[in-house]
Amino acid sequence: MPHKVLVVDDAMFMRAMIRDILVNSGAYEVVGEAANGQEAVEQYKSLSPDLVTMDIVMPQMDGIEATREILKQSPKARVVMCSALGQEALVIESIAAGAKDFIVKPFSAEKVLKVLDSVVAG
Amino acid sequence: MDLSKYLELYLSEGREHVSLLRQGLPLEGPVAADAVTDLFRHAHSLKGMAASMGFELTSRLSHDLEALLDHWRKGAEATPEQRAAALAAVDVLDACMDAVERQSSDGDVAPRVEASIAGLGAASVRREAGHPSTGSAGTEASKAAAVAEGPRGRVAGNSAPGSGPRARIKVSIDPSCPLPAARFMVMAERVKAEEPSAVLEPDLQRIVKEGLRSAVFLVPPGPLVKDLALSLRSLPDVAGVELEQASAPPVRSGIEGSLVQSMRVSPEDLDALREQASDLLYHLNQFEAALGPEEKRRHHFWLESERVHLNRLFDRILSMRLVSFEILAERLGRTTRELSSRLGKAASLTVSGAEERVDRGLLERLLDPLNHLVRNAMDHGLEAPEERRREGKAEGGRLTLDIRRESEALLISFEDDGRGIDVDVIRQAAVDRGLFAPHEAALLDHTKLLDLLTAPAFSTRKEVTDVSGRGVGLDVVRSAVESLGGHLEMASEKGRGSRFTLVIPSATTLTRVLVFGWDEEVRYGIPASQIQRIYPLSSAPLVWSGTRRFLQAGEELLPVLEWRAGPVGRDGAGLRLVHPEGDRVLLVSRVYQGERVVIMPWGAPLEMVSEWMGGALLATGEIAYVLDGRVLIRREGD
Repeated sequence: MPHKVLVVDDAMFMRAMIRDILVNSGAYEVVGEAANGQEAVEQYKSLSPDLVTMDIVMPQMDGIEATREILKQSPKARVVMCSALGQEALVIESIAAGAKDFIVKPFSAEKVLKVLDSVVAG
Repeated sequence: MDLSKYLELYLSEGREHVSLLRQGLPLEGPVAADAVTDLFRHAHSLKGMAASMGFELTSRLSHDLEALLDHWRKGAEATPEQRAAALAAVDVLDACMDAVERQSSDGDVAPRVEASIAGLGAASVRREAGHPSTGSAGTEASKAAAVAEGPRGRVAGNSAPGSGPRARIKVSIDPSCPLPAARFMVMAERVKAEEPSAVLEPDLQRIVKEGLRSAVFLVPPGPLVKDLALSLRSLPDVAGVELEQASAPPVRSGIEGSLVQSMRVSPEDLDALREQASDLLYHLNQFEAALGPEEKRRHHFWLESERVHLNRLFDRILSMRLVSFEILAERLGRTTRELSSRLGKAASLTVSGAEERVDRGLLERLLDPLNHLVRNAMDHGLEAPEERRREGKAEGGRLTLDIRRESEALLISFEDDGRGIDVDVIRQAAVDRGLFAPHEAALLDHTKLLDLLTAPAFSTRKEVTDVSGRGVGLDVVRSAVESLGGHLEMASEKGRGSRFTLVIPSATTLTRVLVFGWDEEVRYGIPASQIQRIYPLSSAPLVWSGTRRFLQAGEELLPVLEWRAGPVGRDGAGLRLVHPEGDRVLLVSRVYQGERVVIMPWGAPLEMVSEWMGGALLATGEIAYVLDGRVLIRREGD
């Protein structure tokens, strides 16, 4: 059974890329997509995915706030942050907020899957 | 990854960001915080998208624009110069989009991008002068350090040393990991979940501030330590894990005080060390294989920790054996110069990526094939100067060697700008040699014809060489590359030149092997890439023809590879091993499963080709002895 993933990013382009990486691996399926933190929180509630990939910088509600919100409702949620270079402080803040791990743009399929695999296994 | 399919989405979404940036940039007056946050986000998204597509210029410009907007967002005053520079940057970003639309690259607008980046830079220099306390890099680090000091950060940053003896797990982060401190924090959370009293040393604040890439977890000694080390080793971005069970006081004096900071070691000594280490690993494997299941369970801890230590020793030795390609490049340059003067053909060799470091043994095994390619290019590939002039080429031939790493493979490309390979001549020669009937030969495509050059029966014939213009001993090059587990790629265009790419998998790559056996006790493996099919012997019977056995697979009769193996019953299987000179079937008693493993080489010196690739630790904790199917077939007659 592939793991169910909710992909959160305001850029459709990035969502398409992540979706392809996940789906091509055969180990994950994308059950939902959200374009901002608000949508992410709502989708998480209705879909209960095994894993969330969460962009940090987004309109309306940013990824860190959304992570806090999701974890408040579901303490066992597994959230992996999507970061760009030079955002170490935000990533550290996210992990302090309870995110399990992070991936860095530009994504390499191998790296992304390694991180997600280890989050799912841990 | 094929990126072209994302191009359309990149353009449509990217253009939207650019146009929203243009609309939102305030020409004058105060800057509303909300509006700037939106602008910042557009620049940020564009940066990430462009980086993902490999459009480095677009990404860099977006990054610098993002930095300026971030500055405004935090309340700094937007100077007229900065506004102008920001608007100019948006124009250039627009031009980047146009360039990408025209030719799938932003390379064309490089001068404008550089100018715009310089413009943003000049505007921010003034900005920094006005606000000396807000250097963006400094802010980032101190913010991260501040977060790391928070209650959760303290999980990782507890500075009170635990009481009692401590085992030390030293973890180093891969140099390619962009956010090492965040990586340590993720790791610390995991360690803490297993062992709440664990302490990270130095603490997270210092890791952030100093950008450290290695740190030590102090944990209470015990069986858990080994499990922890093993699980850390499997985490992303972890380059190495070292375990020190002993509670000896840490040596903290540093290297400044010592008299001898480095010393020469002969390659032979290192080789001897490596061989001894692999002997130890081999003995451990033998020992473990000889144990019964009950004993294995009882001694599991010691076996495992022995393996961790041996692997650490191995890693250390292997990293000491790393050398750069510079020595090899130097040697090939010499060959080029010698042949150039002997043959009266002016030629130069350009090398890029020579700083790439590989194992000394690998480098030595690459020398012959690469030297061969250089000789071939000088002898046959490059035309005589007068012929080059006639063709409108520069008189001096250009040879290039490019070394780079791509995911887990090492790519070594050698290229010449000579006459190229005439595939029609190869086609004709194939017919003349009786290898193909004329109508079959007519169907061979470019790649297949080039491949023919590496077939031993083909390329060793001198006449062919002379007419095809290339190919002396290309089979030698190919088999050298294959003996390293890699393959040879060829491309050539008549009149334009040829390119040979040696694709070598790096030694630490996970390899998928099929696990099988002949009895209950010992597991064997063969790389799955070498196995084309598995035939159950219950449905594919064995038949004798003369003195040889064959496996009957439908219409096909596949020769059986007679290898020292026990008798195989009807419940066994035949593994079809792929080989260019004809597939063979290896009979085995039972097939277990496919598994991704790291193959650890052992025993035989590198120069000896052995049918044993090494040992692999299976998920079940058992050892598999991994065979190289190609060598088995090559040595069939021995």
